[in-house]
Order: sequence, then structure tokens, then C-alpha cells
Amino acid sequence: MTDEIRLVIPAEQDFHPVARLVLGGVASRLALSVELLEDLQVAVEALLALRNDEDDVTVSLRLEAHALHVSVGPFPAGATAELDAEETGLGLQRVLETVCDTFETDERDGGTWVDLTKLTVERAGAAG
Amino acid sequence: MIRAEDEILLRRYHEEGDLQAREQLIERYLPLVRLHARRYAYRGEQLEDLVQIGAIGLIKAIDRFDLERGVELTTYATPTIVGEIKRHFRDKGWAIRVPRPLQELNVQLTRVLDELTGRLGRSPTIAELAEAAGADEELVLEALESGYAYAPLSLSARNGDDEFELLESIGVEEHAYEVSEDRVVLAPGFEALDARERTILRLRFFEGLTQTQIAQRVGISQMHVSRLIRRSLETIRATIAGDAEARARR
Repeated sequence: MTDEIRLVIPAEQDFHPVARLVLGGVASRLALSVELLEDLQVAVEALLALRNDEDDVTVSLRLEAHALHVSVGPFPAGATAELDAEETGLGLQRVLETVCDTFETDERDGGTWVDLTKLTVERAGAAG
Repeated sequence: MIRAEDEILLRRYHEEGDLQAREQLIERYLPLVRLHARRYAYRGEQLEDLVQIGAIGLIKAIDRFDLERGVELTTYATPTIVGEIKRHFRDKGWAIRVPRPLQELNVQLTRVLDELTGRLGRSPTIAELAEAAGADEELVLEALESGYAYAPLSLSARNGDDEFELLESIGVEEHAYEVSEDRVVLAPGFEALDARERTILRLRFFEGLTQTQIAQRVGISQMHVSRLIRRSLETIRATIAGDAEARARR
């Protein structure tokens, strides 16, 4: 049995709520808290907002002990540049820093992917 | 800073009554209206209808624009355009789009979520929420999602008293807040938010408070905080995209 769920949807904004619902279904089965689910939804929503075109976008979820890994992509060159820039405002970088435990970009399959990790066991006093 | 081309057109309209200049401004910023209308079009409304409604907001912004304020027209017009679209939805009521049982469950969940969070001392799981509400988990997820369709209606009700009360409830500003407030005020897209939205985003993304902590601090439900955060982030993204689009056209 696979431990990965892969959702491929049109990148158009109309389909973004489908990703939110899938995240909800997974969170429900993993007994994640509502706050943790909403953090994941905010992160994925922020990434999907980088795409609003007629191609497909993939959201894949992979569960490991005490962590959920989410990959979103592919993004065209430069679309995620702000993740590497020094940022002082409330852009993608700060949003992901706040709602995820780690995030990184990776070049693969002909595009840029953003890999997020969210610990599924909430730390006492953790903001996320 | 207001763009030179906009300033010329605005002065021609405001100072000389040149209606052609007004027309040019409307045409120039219709793509901004379209950008915002697209965000709401999936809620059962035709995109072109929403563009027409949003255009009313744009015209109001052009008519009321104060050249002495020194802000860009896109920044000034965004809340007016979005406000006009939201008002349209509010006037029609959300019953048209969301089935009544889901509406009722959503209202119930708002209360249950806060009660459970208080009782458990942590954010509940979907299963706990479903059990407390006496509903299936799938239905709970659907009701939570439907709440975001409802959000533009329920959260857009803005009046000065409400904002004042919420700001009051946050208490005395601490020095650290003043420092971060400076960063927030300077952050792109923040001009399009109201005081309450700015405060909540600041607490979440610059002070690191959880939604539950913000809800307690500000005196609104956790679900309300969640919706405000997501709507505000959307507004920021749309404002920045609108500014970039306007720059690209120049």
C-alpha cells in the first residue's frame, strides 16, 4: 500500500478548493488538529496562488512518522524566487516559515517544486 | 506614490471635469477589476457580471480619489472594488449558494470549535469536532469549506465602531508591536487591509501567535480569525498582482 497521495488538478484558481478538501480528508484520517490542518491549507493555498493557468499542478502528500510532507509543483522558472530572497514583508517566505516546520525548493521533472514539512505532533507552545 | 500618468488623468477629471480622462482611467484599471472578480466567479456568479459590479467600485474609487493622499490608485481602488463585489454577494445572501443544513452546521462549528479548544486546552481534531457537533467528518469538512464561501459576506461588514472596539480589545500597544507594526505597514499589499485585518496578520505572522491565541486576544471566534487570515492573504496577493499588472502595462 502506498503512503503517498498524489492530486493532479488544473492550475486554475477554481480548482484550488479541491486541494483544501483533500488536505482536510487526510488531516481527518491522521487525527491532526484543526489548527494544524488550517496551517497546511494556508501553505498550499499560498503556493497554488503562484499558478493560475491551464496546465496541471500536482499536490502530493507523504506521511512519515510524526511528519507530513507536502510537495507542490511544478512552478516555472522564477516563480518561487521570493523564497530565496531576503524578505521583510508578508510574502510567501514568511507565510511558509510561520505555518510549516520546514520548506525547500527542488528542481526536478522539468520545473521547480516546493517541499513542505509539517510535524504532526504539535510541540508545546509552538506557534504553528 | 501616485503614478505620473494616473495623476495627469485624475487632475484632468477632478480639476477640469474631463470625462474622457475618467473613461481612460476606467479602461486602464479594468484588468484590476477582472483580477478581483475572478476570485469570486466560482461562487456561482458569471465572471462578466462580477466585472460589471467591480467596475462600479472602480468608478467610485476614481471619483473619490484624493490626489493629496499620495497613494497609488490601485491601492486605493482595491478595497472599493472588492467591497462592491462583496456587497453584491451580501445583498443576494449566501443561502443561494450554500445549502441550509451546511450553513447551520457551519454556525454550530464556530461555537463548538471554541468550546472544545477551551475544554481540551488544544485545537481539536476533525473527529472530535464531528463528534461534538453530531455530524460526519466529511460533512464537517464540507461545512468548514463552505464557511470560506460565506466569509466575504460575513466578514466584510465593516464599520468604524467595530474596528475601534476590536483595536481597543487588543490592549495597550507594547514596544515590540510598534516595531513590527512598522514592518507591517511597509509590507506590500497591506495598505489594502483594514485595521483589524492588519492586526490579525501581524499577530499571526510577525508575533507568532496561534489562531487560538489571536481569537482570545482579539475577542472573536477562532474560525473568524482563520477566515480573516485567509481572506487577508488573498487580498494582499491580489493587490500585489494588480500592482504588478499595472506596472507591466506602463
